[in-house]
Amino acid sequence: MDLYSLKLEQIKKDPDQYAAFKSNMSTVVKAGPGSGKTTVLSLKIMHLLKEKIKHPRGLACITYSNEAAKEFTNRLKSFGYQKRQNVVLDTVHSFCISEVIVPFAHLYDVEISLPLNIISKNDRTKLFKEILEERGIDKKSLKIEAMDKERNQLIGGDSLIEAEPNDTARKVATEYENLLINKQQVDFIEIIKCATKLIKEHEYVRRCLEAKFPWILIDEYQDLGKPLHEMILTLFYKTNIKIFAVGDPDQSIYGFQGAIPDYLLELYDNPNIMSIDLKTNYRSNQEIIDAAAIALNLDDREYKAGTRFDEQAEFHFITCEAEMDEQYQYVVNNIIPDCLTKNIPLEEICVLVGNGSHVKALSKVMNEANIPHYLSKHEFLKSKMIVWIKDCATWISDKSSISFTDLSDFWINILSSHHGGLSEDNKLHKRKHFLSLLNQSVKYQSNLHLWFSFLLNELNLENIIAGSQKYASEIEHISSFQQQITVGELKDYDLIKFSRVGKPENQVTISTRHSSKGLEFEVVIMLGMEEGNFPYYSTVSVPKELNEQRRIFFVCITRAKRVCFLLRSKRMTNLTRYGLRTHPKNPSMFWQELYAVRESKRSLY
Amino acid sequence: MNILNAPHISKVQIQNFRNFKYVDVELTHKQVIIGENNVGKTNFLRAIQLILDPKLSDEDRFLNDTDFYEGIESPMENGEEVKISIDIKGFDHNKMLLAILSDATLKDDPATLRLTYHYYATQNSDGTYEYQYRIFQGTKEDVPFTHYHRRYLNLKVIPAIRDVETEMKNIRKSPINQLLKNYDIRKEELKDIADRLKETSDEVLSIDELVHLTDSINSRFSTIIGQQVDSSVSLETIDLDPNRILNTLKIMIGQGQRPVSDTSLGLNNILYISLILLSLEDKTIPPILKEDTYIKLLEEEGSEILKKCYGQNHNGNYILNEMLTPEFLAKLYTFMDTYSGDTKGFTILAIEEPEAHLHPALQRLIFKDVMKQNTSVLMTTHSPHITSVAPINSIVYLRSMSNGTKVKTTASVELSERDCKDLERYVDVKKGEIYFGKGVILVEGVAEEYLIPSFAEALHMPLDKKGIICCTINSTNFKPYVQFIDALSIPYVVITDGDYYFRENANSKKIFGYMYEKQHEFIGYDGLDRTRKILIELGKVDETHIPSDINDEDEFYKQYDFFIGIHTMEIDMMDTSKDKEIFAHVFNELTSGGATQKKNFKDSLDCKNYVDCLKKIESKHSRIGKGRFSQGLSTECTKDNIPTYIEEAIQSIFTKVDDL
Repeated sequence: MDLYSLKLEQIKKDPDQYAAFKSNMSTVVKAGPGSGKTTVLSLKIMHLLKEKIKHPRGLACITYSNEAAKEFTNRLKSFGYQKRQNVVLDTVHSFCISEVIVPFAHLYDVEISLPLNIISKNDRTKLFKEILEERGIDKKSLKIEAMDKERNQLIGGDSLIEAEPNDTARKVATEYENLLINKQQVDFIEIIKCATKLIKEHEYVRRCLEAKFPWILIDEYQDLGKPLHEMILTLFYKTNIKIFAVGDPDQSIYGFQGAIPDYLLELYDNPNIMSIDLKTNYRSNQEIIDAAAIALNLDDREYKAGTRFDEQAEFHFITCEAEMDEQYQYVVNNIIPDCLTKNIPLEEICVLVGNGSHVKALSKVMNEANIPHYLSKHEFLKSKMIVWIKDCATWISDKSSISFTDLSDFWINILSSHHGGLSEDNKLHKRKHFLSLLNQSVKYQSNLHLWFSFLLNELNLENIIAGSQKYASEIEHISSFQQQITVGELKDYDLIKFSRVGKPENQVTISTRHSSKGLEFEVVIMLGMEEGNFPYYSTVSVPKELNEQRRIFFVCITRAKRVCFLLRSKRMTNLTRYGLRTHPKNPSMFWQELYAVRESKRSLY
Repeated sequence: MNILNAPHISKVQIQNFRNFKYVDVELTHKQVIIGENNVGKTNFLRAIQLILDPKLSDEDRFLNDTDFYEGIESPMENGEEVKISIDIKGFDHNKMLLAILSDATLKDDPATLRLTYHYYATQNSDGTYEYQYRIFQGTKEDVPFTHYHRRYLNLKVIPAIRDVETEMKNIRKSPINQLLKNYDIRKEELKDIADRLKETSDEVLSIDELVHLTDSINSRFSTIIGQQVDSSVSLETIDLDPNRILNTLKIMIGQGQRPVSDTSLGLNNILYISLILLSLEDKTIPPILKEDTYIKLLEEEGSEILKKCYGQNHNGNYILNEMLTPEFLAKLYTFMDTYSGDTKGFTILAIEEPEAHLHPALQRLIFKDVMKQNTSVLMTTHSPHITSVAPINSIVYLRSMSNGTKVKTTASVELSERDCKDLERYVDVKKGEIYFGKGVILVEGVAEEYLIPSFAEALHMPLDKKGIICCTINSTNFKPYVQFIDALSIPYVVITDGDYYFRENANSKKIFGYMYEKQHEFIGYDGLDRTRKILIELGKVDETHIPSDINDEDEFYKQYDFFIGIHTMEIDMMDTSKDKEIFAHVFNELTSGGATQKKNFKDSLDCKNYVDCLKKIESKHSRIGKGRFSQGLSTECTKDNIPTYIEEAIQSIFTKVDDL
């Protein structure tokens, strides 16, 4: 039996999953942790393409990140998907650019200037800071994220969700947007806003989208924020496009970007949209699931384990004397050796920390102790271009792992968007040239930096990208990648090592709490569980923000299949305005809540 | 069926291709392309084929030196380029086309697509040029239009030289097979039938004679090769493989069921074109739905419309009801377009010279049928039988000029319904002769039609030699004709009577039928009045620019190709001739009256009472009439008899035609 049919048989056994798979109208799926939402979504896409949607019409599947889009593509390929016209698996931004702005913006009078000129991250920050200075606003009182959040919320439309206005942010936002227009540049928020406006105002655009995409499916809806929500509402109200939104309000943890669970819930509550709950957790045992419910401080979730029946969870509360370092040492000296003796492989262990500097510090400690480990989520893998570079490296080290056609297709795409359509002869010529370059580059395979410089030069990559609308924003990723390979994380890598980045192989995973979404491990170790650190002190008095912190904790616990470690230190040293100061620390409220429940449970037996 | 028209080409732009230096024309849904031989009718289609015809190979799309406009010398050494664009309208009711071609959008109201073929050059370092072609969508050269897109929107050309019989016999390509593919015919059903057919035909084999024959063969055969191998011989009737059973279908014609090979070439041509048209129809709404397909479609939103439009027959299939209201049909179309969707695409049909092998009456019939179809059609023709029935706004007129062939269309001529009908009627009666002239002299009546060619002959400027034709419109309503000929850019002159009149006083009625006399105080020329009205209505002249003096006004209109007489042509002729004997001579020859009548005519002529002469010609006693008189005169007239304005008109049209 092929993989598609095999998986299909599996989900037929879960009535909720199957209902979501079969639904023939706009649907919202509220999918709890480990509920198999990705499987359902990818099976549904296959089903729609096989049986419901005829060529040349297709569908769009919108994901939160390029990585997720790539993962979907690979999964669909394993189900037998073959590339086809009008099937788009991409991020919101790419969707807006390549399906709305590039084809239609030139037909109408739009505020943004064409061709798109995307402002770089640095210029963006610079512009923002200039506005703050000019207005005499304290840099610490307003973050660029807060301004973006405000800008997102300023998008009017059909949603009834109201957010609390932030006056300072609003003023800065307005000025920022005006300056951006003056500079004839755009940023990602402007792109989505512009696309949404085009869809709202022009029937022709809607009809074309409806013709191309009878279905639009969205993964991780809770992370995508207001602009996308407005776009989806417009499509829902004004076209016959069927919407299939999947998400989990409990896992909405990107509030700083303006993503709140309410948008998904608004869709969920719409009487004309079918709502389905996936409540069975196929990852964790029931005790982990119950503990996660405590984290949320809610008891109406009714999640049930669909696996690991009659299995006990383990919760370990470890108190160290002082500082993070002691926690790192405990992980390295006690927990990991202990796991190994219990035959838990390293790739089933994950350490979750508060921020990036903790990731680095822990990584250093593990290096010293010779524990193989790997850092999940690399910033540079968010770029399509870098992922392609990585695929090229992978192909050079192992030609059977990746198809050269796919690699060269991407290259031809870039070239076409720069030069205009290429003739078949020309394409063949470019492919040949590309192949010979890759083959020549083999001589640099022991040095990633040299190898990349060679390709960059020979392909004239920077120039070509700068001249293309679709890929122009990648310039920035390329320069930050260069940084990485010369002095950063990827310094002294060879191609083999580079090609393995992002694929754990008998390694412990280290991740920040925010980046842990979508992962799963037998053992999850949470560090920094002190009061003021988690939940972060400034959020405790703001219910909305505290709730988000709870959801982060929920996400952390639900990564575990069976075992959770919580670590804290009694004393912590922080840099204050009076210099370094050491303070005693109480356990985090999350620690305490979970601890109390576990204790009472233990006393019951 | 009442379904929206299929997409059509609404505009064609050609630069530097074959006969065409620069062309920019608007087209409509049905077009008749006319013009002389070698003017470029086929090349005009070829230009569109470069973009839309799936049968052209990649090789065909690479051009040679000879494909460039002939006025350019060694084009490929100088980096000249060829560009052809077509705009498409009428596609946006279909989701499939929107899904596949929305990148090509030029504007959204009315929704218009643009596709462009560009044969472009890149210069090498040694100064020579490399050529590549690119076909792209919309205004951005980076979105290609490829064979994939051509599956959904394409052009099919039925060439002038066609071998219909072979085409129809070709199993894979025959139109009947194309048509069969549009149905959802199930293998199981066919297998069942094939099995039963086999059973029946096998009965033949049980005839004693055949049993005997089989036995004989077998015994002969086995004595030769022995029995060691499996070599028994048996007889089979026909090949009844269910996969091939449909291929055995043949078209028969008539009650005697003649096969196509026994039918006339003309009839086969019509059959072929009808089959092609049938296969190009919009098939979004299937006429038959299999039960399982029907049930599957019921799951979809809005499927109630199915129950209203289909009924189940005894075979279990759902058959589309005939006579559906337009409202139901529209709903059903949207439903099917959304959930079922024929993915075969749309074809624009180009027929070269449909008149080939056809009797004139059949030419008209097939043309009228083609014009009714939803499929957009372009046809080239030489046949006056077709052009004469072509709608006035469907003409694409190709004309050879010193700077390349010019293409003119009547698609955007705006005529009143009355004028349009008159013009159509005129074109029909005159067998479309207006399209075939290099220059046109428009005249009022049959008298001019007889005389003006003779006048031209007398002036040593024979009209035939220059391809100038004299068209009589049998009225003085020149306006629609001028509009129409203007749109086609055919040079023309208008010759019209002056129709002198006077009034008793400034505001009283015009009095006609008199020659100028001194006591006439308030005088005028109706010919001038009519011309003024036409030219102002057509926006050719501004009222304030018209000279107030009558003679100046007459001169003024000549630059707008209107040549106006004084009275009627006959009177002007008599007045202008030095030797008036010829008129008496022709009158005497033609009249049925006696000597007195002949004398009276001569008297009137002598005392210059030409009004009276004309009356005598038209009187029932003489039974001559203007037409016959002119006919008689036409064989004898000389330069002496030509009124100045007519001579000027003839010279003017000659100059214009020579200028081309």
